Amino acid sequence: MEELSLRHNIFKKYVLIVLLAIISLQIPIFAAPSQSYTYDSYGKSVASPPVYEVSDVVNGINIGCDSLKKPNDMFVDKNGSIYILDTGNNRVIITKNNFKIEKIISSFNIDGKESPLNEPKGIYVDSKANIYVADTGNNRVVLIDKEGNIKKQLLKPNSSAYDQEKDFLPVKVVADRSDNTYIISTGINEGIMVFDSEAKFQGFYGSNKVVQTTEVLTDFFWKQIMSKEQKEQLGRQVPPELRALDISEDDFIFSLTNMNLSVWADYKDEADKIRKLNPKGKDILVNKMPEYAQAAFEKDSKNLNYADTNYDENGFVNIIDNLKGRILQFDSDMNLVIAFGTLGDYKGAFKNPSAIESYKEQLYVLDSSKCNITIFKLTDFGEKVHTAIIVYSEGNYNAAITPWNEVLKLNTNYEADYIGIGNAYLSQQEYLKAMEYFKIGRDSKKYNDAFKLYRISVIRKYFAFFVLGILIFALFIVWIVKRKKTLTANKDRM
Amino acid sequence: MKKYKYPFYIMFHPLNGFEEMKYRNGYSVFISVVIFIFAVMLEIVNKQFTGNQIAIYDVDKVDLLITLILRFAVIFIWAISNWSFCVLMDGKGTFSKIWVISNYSLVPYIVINYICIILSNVLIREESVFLSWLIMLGILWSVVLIITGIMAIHEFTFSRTIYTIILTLLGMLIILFVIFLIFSLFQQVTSTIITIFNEIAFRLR
Repeated sequence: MEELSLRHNIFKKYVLIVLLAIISLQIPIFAAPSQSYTYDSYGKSVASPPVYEVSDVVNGINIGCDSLKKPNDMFVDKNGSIYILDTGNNRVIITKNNFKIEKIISSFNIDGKESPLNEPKGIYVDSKANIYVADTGNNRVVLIDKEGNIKKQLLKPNSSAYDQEKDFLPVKVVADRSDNTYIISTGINEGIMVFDSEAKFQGFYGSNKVVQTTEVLTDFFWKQIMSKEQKEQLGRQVPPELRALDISEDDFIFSLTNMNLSVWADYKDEADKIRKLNPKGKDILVNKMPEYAQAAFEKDSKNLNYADTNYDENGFVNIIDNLKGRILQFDSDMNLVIAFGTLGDYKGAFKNPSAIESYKEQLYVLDSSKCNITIFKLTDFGEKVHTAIIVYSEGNYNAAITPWNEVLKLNTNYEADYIGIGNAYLSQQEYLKAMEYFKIGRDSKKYNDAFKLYRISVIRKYFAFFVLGILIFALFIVWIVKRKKTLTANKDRM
Repeated sequence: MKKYKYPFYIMFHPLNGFEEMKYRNGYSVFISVVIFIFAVMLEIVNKQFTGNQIAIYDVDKVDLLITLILRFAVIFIWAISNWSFCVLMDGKGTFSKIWVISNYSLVPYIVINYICIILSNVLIREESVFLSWLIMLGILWSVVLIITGIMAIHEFTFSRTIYTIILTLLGMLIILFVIFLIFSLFQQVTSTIITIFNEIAFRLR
């Protein structure tokens, strides 16, 4: 009996030790330097539980070929096939979703001659599995099929719209459903170059604009006075170059502009960082981020250097930055869902991330210095946030209330979910509850909408009392005026 | 008339009110301080009780001490500057009278602002234009009162009053400049003393 109790005690001790070990193990996991955060409506960054966690890291040797060398771009198609553009080795590696190699393309046959790739920098794969490669070193964009046969070549346009002194250095390429090709070329700031399906240059599209700032106006003033030589020294006011492209399934183009380059210092605040361009080249992205959060994001953007953007099938926009290794995810209303990621040597940190892709709620990040691909998957919290946002953005506010409440249990600092719950109550005509949630979510405009309806409902309910009250008040005033008149009349008589 | 009735009487009868106050010596520093406290409270009440449909303020950032000091400084410097100029220009008012009428003149502005805060809980965003109009009215009203008040206590003509008010505003700028100068000088003097002290302390060690 005694022995048993002693054993019991030892067992207890072991349990305690194991528990302590687990606790001490957990600390480094949760205190990982890659802290996730969002902005609140005052523009402060608020810590958040992680939305993504590292699920795998893959490099060239894992895949089964020799190691990658400065890979610059990557594409993940709808079936999960991964196309890695191994810039340093001048090849395209095509793998299945489990990273099993299907094919490696490094050169192709043009009119009987072998034509190898030379420092290709951008890749895109359309829905018919045609591969577009921006073959930067050869000043061309090539369209090849999955077998490696060349179909089309896009060369430097002969058009007068294109400044012939500038080299054609394509770095990013996308194509739409009707086989128009959109290309970003280094040194071209007129916008995105558009080629039609016959490989003919169509013109520029969706450029950033030079906004009239005081800087531009003062420059204009000085130019009126200066001599020709001085004018040449002054430099021209040109819009910032585009940095990255992605295209949605319905042919809306997402363009990313980098505000970090010192040359464009004066335009940092004017040009939009992320734009969703319609076929006319107009930005149609409605930014619903609260004012201060927007300001905070812009302030952050000045210290970041965005490298790539990705639009995923659920409407999330992902951006990666290579100065701090930050990944930013926005929902379709451009609210920041989460910001995470950092530079470092450990698993899940980056050195020089150059491309971001998504496949079924997974994020693939290509690092051109570490020469590997990091795969992020959603955490439990992330899954809840994503379901809530997806259901909510479909306009199904009532269905979104359950996932929002679950998010709220895990993270009380997440302002978007208060607004989500508030919207659900608003559509259920529970105005007071909606007002309460909008107040915590600090959304004054939404609060105003709820309050407006609440006020109408109150007035309707007590309409008779209101009328009666106004009548009594009017009578009271009439009585006071009359009394005052008689009093003054009496005074006069006296 | 009781002294506490003057601020409200002045609101509607500025010309008569200030004259009467002068002849019957209706100035009360105590009442002016009470009005001043209401003016300071206005800032906090505004941030705390404005309807959420008009604006949601960050209440964490309200600082009572700084609000108090700033408001006090503005009125106090105004009074000093006005007194110094009006003494030179044969004004009859004393410093305490200027302080009192300046605060009394603020009454419409304060009252209208408090009314606006109450109204902001009933009105919606689209109707908040009325509030800004009301506040504008309050400011104008207070300006009219302050002009008539200064006219009355110094026994100036209207044009002379405007002239002194412009001078007063310039004077305020000069005073602020001098204050900043003194502050920075003191900072340098203290830092010099501290470095000398440290130097000696290190040598003695």
